[in-house]
Amino acid sequence: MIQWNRREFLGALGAGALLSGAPLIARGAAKGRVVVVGGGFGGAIAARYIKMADPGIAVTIIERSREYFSCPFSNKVVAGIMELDSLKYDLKAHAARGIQVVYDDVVAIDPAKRSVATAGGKQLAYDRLILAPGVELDYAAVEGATAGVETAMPHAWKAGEQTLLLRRQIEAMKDGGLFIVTVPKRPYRCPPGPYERATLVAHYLKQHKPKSKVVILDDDNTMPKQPLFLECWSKLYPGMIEWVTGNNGGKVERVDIKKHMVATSDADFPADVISFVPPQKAGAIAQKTGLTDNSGWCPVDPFTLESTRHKHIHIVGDAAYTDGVPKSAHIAGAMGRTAARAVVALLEGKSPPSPQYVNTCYTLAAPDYGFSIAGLYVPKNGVITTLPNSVTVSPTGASQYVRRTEAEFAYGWLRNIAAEAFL
Amino acid sequence: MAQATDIAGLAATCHSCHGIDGASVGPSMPSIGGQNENYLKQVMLEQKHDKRYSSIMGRLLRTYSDEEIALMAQYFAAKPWVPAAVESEMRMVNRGRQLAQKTCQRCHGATGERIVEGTPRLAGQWPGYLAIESTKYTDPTFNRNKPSERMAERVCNLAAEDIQAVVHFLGTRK
Repeated sequence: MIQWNRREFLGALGAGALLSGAPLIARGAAKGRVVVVGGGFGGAIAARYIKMADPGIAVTIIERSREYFSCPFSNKVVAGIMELDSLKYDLKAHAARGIQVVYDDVVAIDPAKRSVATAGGKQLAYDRLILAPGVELDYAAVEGATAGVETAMPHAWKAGEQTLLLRRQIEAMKDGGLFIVTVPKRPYRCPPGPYERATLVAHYLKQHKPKSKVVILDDDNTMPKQPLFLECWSKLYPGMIEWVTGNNGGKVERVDIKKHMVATSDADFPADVISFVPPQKAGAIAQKTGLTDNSGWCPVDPFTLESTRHKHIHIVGDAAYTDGVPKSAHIAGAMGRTAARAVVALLEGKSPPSPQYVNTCYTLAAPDYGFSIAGLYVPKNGVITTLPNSVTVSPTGASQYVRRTEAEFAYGWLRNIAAEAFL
Repeated sequence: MAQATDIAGLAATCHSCHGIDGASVGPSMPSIGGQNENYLKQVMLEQKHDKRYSSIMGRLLRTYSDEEIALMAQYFAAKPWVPAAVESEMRMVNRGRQLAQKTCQRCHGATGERIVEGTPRLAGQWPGYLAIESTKYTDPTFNRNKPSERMAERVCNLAAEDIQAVVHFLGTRK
């Protein structure tokens, strides 16, 4: 239970409650109705913290799937280090806590009437909506990325069947084959993800198909945790991984499903297995509701995560526009807590507390070789932005003890954030 | 930075790694809820000022004031201690108990329950985490300063299997 809320709540049920949910209060029902759309890390954590802070608020979470697979650690499944089932979570614990769980697809949001319509024909009214739709994979922006591209060149950027498909393709690859992973234009979900994928696939190939190669085709010219990736490639997988930066012809301009290749301005890259990770934007429902701007993401008030486009809708997770803040599960969780606190305060007619967003992100280069980045992000000039000098990475040249224990911390992190969201 | 009155908001930033209210479920991540306040404060300050090796903690704590660190220590110390969910194995427990009597008891009590001044509660702490801390004294590749001289004297002679037994014994205490 969160103390600030319990304490502040006493005597707080007044103007705010009347503002936000007058008819409901008059009926003596809930202190407010919150609908959460999307049951990933951000949405699940938001729903839980609202209920923890004030059990009197009616919280409904709408999620498409009964099973959720964590994107964090899914590269380990691709590389055969873990099984997908160990990343499987659901919202049963939410239901047990008194959160209404609706398995359905949201087809429309009416910001004026404050209601949500589902494919199953439900209409849900809200005082505050928390929208955590994740990313849409923007295949439409890529020439040649027509129907079938997901099967031919799995993105595996949403964990589940795609993760297994990519793994099977890599397992079926011949020794001496070529694996390509592409890096889309920033920003995209999980900034170090493509490089970690390349690294862990190299880990698999080194054991099972040592004559094989990995190529990274990158839209950009730098990568997150760059010195650490470069170090582990030369230490663990010398000669196996080639990184083609944007300036050196790494920008993918076209895909060709029939020829099973991706093309950059410089060259065609046919390969045995391709993980084509397309450019991304805020989840489709956010676009449809008019919550996105030209960037493709949802501008928000950095203090409350309330949309600057439509009042009473708070955007959580990857879909939110931020100034250089990584789209990570850890940030999604921080946003979930921030939106929860803001929504509870606003329902009570109080001013929301000032947030800070901590990021933590571990990368595995092998099962016993990890490194990390961490940083702090704060509201400034109307956006969430990096607190200067707060972003740090693990040291290069670190001892085996450091690498081994960072790998152990990575697993511990997953267990705890997944428990925070789902258990 | 957040004000002192918003300590719960500040502390919530710890949950994703250390568990809600500091009750960790991850074997490598220490539980901090219900831990000795002095110990929590001292360790965080040492991490912040780079006197104690940590992976992420020291790097994050650089952005927090010493006062905020003291408040977070106080906040989590007041939370309930939730013992690690680890099934005990009789043989490991017995071996660990014997070793702990010789090695740990004087400072940490017979079951790691003893909290005085700067000593942490060990009973019910995650064995994985206790091993990570302990191997700072035994892993020859660990080239940073040892957090505690007294620990160094006692732990340095333990073999890897000994450490596993001791942390299993301590971690399975309540």
